[in-house]
Amino acid sequence: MTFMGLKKMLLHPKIFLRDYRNKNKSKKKTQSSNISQINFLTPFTHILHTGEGQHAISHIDLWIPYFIESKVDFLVLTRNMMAFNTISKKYPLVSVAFLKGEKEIESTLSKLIFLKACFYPSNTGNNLHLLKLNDLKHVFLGHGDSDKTASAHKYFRVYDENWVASDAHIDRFRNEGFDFSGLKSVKVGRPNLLQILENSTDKWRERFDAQINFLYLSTWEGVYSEQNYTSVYMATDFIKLLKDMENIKLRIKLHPRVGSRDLSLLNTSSRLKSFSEENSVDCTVYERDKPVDELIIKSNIFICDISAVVSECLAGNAPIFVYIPKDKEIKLSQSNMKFEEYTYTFSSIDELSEKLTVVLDGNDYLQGNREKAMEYILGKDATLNQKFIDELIAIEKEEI
Amino acid sequence: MISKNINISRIDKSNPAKIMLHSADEKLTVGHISYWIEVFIESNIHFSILTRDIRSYQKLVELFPKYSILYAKMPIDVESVITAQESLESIFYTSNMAKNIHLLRFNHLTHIFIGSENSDQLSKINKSYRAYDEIYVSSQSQIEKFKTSIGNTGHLKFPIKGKSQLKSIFSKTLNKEISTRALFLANKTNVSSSFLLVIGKVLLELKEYALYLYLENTLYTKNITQFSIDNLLDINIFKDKELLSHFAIDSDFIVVDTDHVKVSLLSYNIPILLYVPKEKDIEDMELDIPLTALYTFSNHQEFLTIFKTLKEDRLKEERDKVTEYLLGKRETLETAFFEV
Repeated sequence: MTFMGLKKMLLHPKIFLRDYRNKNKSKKKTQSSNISQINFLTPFTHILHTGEGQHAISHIDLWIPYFIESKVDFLVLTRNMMAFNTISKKYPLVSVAFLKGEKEIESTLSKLIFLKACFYPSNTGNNLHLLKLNDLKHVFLGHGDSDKTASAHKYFRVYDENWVASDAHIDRFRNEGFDFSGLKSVKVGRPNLLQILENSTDKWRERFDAQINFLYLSTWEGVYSEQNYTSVYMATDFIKLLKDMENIKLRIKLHPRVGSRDLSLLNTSSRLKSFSEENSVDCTVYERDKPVDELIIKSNIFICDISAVVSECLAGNAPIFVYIPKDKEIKLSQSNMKFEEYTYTFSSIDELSEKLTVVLDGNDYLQGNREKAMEYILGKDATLNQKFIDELIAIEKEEI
Repeated sequence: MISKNINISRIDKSNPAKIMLHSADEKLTVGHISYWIEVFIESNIHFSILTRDIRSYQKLVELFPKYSILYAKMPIDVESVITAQESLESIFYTSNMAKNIHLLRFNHLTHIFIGSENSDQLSKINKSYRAYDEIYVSSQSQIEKFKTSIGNTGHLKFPIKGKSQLKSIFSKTLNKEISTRALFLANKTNVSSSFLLVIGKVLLELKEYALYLYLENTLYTKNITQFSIDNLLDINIFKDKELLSHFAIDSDFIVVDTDHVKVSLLSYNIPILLYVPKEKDIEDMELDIPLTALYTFSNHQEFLTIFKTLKEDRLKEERDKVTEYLLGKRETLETAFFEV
């Protein structure tokens, strides 16, 4: 602070505060871009774009390690200051940019003359600003693989290519019954599940010294009420169910957005912690941003909701129990393999208890189908062969 | 609690809407809806209108109180709008805005982009238009623009619908009769002064004509009025653009400067005479109407040469072709905008 500033603060604190606020306000207003990390001499060919705010990091986390591994020259493009700060901090060696509006996008990207493709982990409205660049290839990556209606709708047709794990996602589009003939589907597997696949080859009962490690992954209430499939309201019943079991461990991770729409769910983590303590169940409730793959690898029974995590749990090569709410019409973008074919579905705690007993007693009757689903839904072979990285490199060599 | 983010109180439950007109451009919504509403009313199909900002909503309710005008701000509100209209089959989009994504996720609806008055001149066609099922275009020229701009148009259908808003003009001007009226259009840039000097001489040659002069630059109004009195000319100066169409329908020809070469002028089915200042290279100009369909002159002698042969109208055939290509005249007159 200058001497004059100090004098103002001491003699006229009100004026000092007002000026300070105004100064910050104007600073905030002008912050519409940050391109300090872009080295304009780097021949960037790929852009990984996220139009999200606080959820950007979880989407980027899914893909960035493989962009790095592929050694293509890529830039992470954020549209939100918080996302920019978080990603920059977590990946200090990666070029990250913040460009708020369409004008900033146009002026900056026009300088990156080697650009070939732009990748989108989610469908946000501001993707439109990049989609206006007709000379680039636009590729949708997604951030998981789900049967929810959000995973196959008409808006996807704006992209040139949809990189999917395997045939299940293509069938979801087919089964929606609309024409998507202009959208090329490219099967790339699920690179983030490679480690889980490689570590889950043993029979599930024989892992962890025969201990049963339950993993409960709840979804959230959904942007739209039609997609509210959360079982979080009955989470305490799950805990009660495990109360008298021996040699078990329960891990819980809630979806990061639980409580966004139903505020009564905001304190769910602490409530579940206390409840398991009261019932003497060995339970850990994880932070909401804890990567799911780190937990899947430690588990051999999964309880989850209709969401992308079901397919991630598939990589864990162990029984999956999926909650199907009874009180509402389930709108799914259905693939050709229904949940009932490879997961133990339940709509009440009694049904869960009944099916769980059968499986734990040694009758894992869906094991064969689960293996089929690993190929059909996850693209096990493409994942093990690192097809995603091959495709990234191929784009670098393409003439666009 | 009543949400401030949604208003669906104007849903007409006794006449459930089959189609919905949507505009999300805060600044242009009122203009876009006003441009289209007559076409929707004439269709006799029950329709609603969805706006995405409160000011446009209020203004439209004031302008069109009889119609089912709705407002939804957030994605969740849009969901409620769709849920509340079970009979809805199609949505018509007037602008290609980021917010359209809130509706485009509904697979059971047909999504149709119809654009606005100036969509034909869209230079920034991009891949995002592929989200729609259909793009209603006025003519073949638009289809070519799309294909050139984005290459793979995939599933997109491009029904040629013409320009419904020009239907009445097309009908009225199908068989033109000589009226000894002429329309002059001059703009407010510095071209005007040289244009007016030449036009002054031209006007003197048209004493038997009733002349309508659209003048954006009021600076010259006084001079022209005086000129008109001194030379006993019948010159009517007007500034209201709305009147342009009214005078054009009855005119034998239109004289324009380069800033006024608009595609809509073709709808009047009369010769268009373009004044090109001598110092300008006509080949460098990007005009909305191809030069092959325009008579051009740079001085009053050239004008007179053209004027004397205007009855033969040697460019009529070419103009008709261009009118069809750019405005879809035949489709406008023969095709129904809505397929019921």
